[in-house]
Amino acid sequence: MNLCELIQLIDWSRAQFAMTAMFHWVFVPLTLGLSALCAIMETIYYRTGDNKWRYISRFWMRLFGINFAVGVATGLILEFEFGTNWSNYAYFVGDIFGAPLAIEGIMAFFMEATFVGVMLFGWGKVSKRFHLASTWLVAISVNISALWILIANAWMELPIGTTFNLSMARNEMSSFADVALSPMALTKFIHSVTSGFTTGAAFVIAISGWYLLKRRHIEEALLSSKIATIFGLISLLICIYTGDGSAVLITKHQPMKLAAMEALYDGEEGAPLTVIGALKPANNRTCNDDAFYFKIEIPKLLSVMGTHNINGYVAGINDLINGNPEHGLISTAEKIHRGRVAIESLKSYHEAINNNDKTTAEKIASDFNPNSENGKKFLSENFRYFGYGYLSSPQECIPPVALIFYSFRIMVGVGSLLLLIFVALLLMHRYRQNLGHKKWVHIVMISTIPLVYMCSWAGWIVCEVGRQPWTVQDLLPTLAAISKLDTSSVITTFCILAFMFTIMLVVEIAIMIKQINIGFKNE
Amino acid sequence: MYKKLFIIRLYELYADAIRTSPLTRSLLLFIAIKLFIMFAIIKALFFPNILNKLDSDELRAKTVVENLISKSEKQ
Repeated sequence: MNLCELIQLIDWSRAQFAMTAMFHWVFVPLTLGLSALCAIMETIYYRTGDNKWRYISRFWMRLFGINFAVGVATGLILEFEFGTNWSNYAYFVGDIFGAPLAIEGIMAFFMEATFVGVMLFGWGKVSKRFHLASTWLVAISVNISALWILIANAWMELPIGTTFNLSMARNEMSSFADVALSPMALTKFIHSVTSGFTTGAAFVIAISGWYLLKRRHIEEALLSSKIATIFGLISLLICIYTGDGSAVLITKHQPMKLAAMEALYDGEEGAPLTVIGALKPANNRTCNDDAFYFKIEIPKLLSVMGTHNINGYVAGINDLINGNPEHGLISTAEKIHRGRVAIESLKSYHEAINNNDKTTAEKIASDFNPNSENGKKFLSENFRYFGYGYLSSPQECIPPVALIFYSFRIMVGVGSLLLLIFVALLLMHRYRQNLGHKKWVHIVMISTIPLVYMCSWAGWIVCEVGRQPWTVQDLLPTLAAISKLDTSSVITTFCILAFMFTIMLVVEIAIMIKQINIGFKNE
Repeated sequence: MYKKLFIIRLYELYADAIRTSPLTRSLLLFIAIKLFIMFAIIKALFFPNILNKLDSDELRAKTVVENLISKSEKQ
């Protein structure tokens, strides 16, 4: 396979994975958010005994059930792709993915399958208390399922709590606590789950807005949207707060991603944040002065966000490529050299094993032993740059700046707009403005569905495209993670999956619309 | 008084819902068709686990090491 074919294979495999993940992320945030909202609404019914809340809860549970049924198991296709398209990666990450995914599978099967049944079909057949407990267990278990996946995802960005098994060429978990409680995992979990809660809230607000526009179920729509607005606002505020935590972690552990998000070419102390700007074409961008046609900045804000220090240093793309000794940054060329040393050691070890040269094998094995002084030095100086050994030039470690720059602004801009909408709706509810008669408000409410998905997807683009070329940060680039496959077979499966997901989405929307048309029923 | 096992009561909930609710029937049918397509067609025909075809962990390790080394040598 020549380089051109390899690049095509990587691009199609990445496109396929991105498409699957984005379709999956249609269903997941709605499941996370709606399950929690259903639990809150049923709690109100349980506490007040007001029958209105019973059929409001049942209506939203019906929509939750449709989304759950259509979306269930779509994430498994990502696992199929790991085994086929990304087999080197799947092997290299070893039990880091295996353990969390196994726990997730068992939890999902036993908790969700059991309690979703009680939640959806148990009305009037089990006690009110048990039904409420089941609904809360569904809400908790879907969120715990997300936790395991996000722990695995976070490890790819901050690979800690593992040791590299030289003879098996894979990472093995040395500390479950370090993997599960890594700051990246906790921040990512709260950020993703609260963005899911916001999606669920926006969904309820939008459907309520549609009822208000059509002058149907006005009382139920107003009550639903009020609860969703409060829940959405709290979730969005937590999401924004954890976004700040993410900025600090990215500055520390993924500085190239932050530099790309800001199109920051030359690092600065007291770096400004670009609110909005128009980037010049990639070839014209070499330093901060020639990166933009125009931009509006807030002085010092990037340093504050990234380092929590008004004069903190934020590295630029050029600093990360060329190195900056003043700030302790080594050049990418040096990292490539060190990565090649680590790969060469892996090669020499396996050659020694094959030649039955125990002395050489033991010497190299000691370099990879994290408990010896020699090993600590080699691992921190060379193995941590293992993935750089696959790059042929430093420029290969720059992610697509324009895509990340604009996606970040879409995420923040649309997120801010949603915050504004939630605050305005809350004030309208609070001061008893007659929401039922303001058509423009209903249209704004309906618009929250596309807005929240736009925001959420843009966030994932920043997160995942921003760490390119890495599948595992600094350890494994996509180039090394990919399996030996025909590009044509990946294109074929891409088309099949695109067709299947489109059908699923059409089915979901069709069934949802039918149920929304039926509306709230006094069951 | 005779009390049914939780699992039997759960089964009855599902069975009752299938009997009485057309929406539940449609959704469960959809799930069944989707899982069949996912596992019997997509997984079986298009997404084999490449490394699982190999008999032992040692063979898998050898294959991955060869891949990792050969890809670095192309650079």
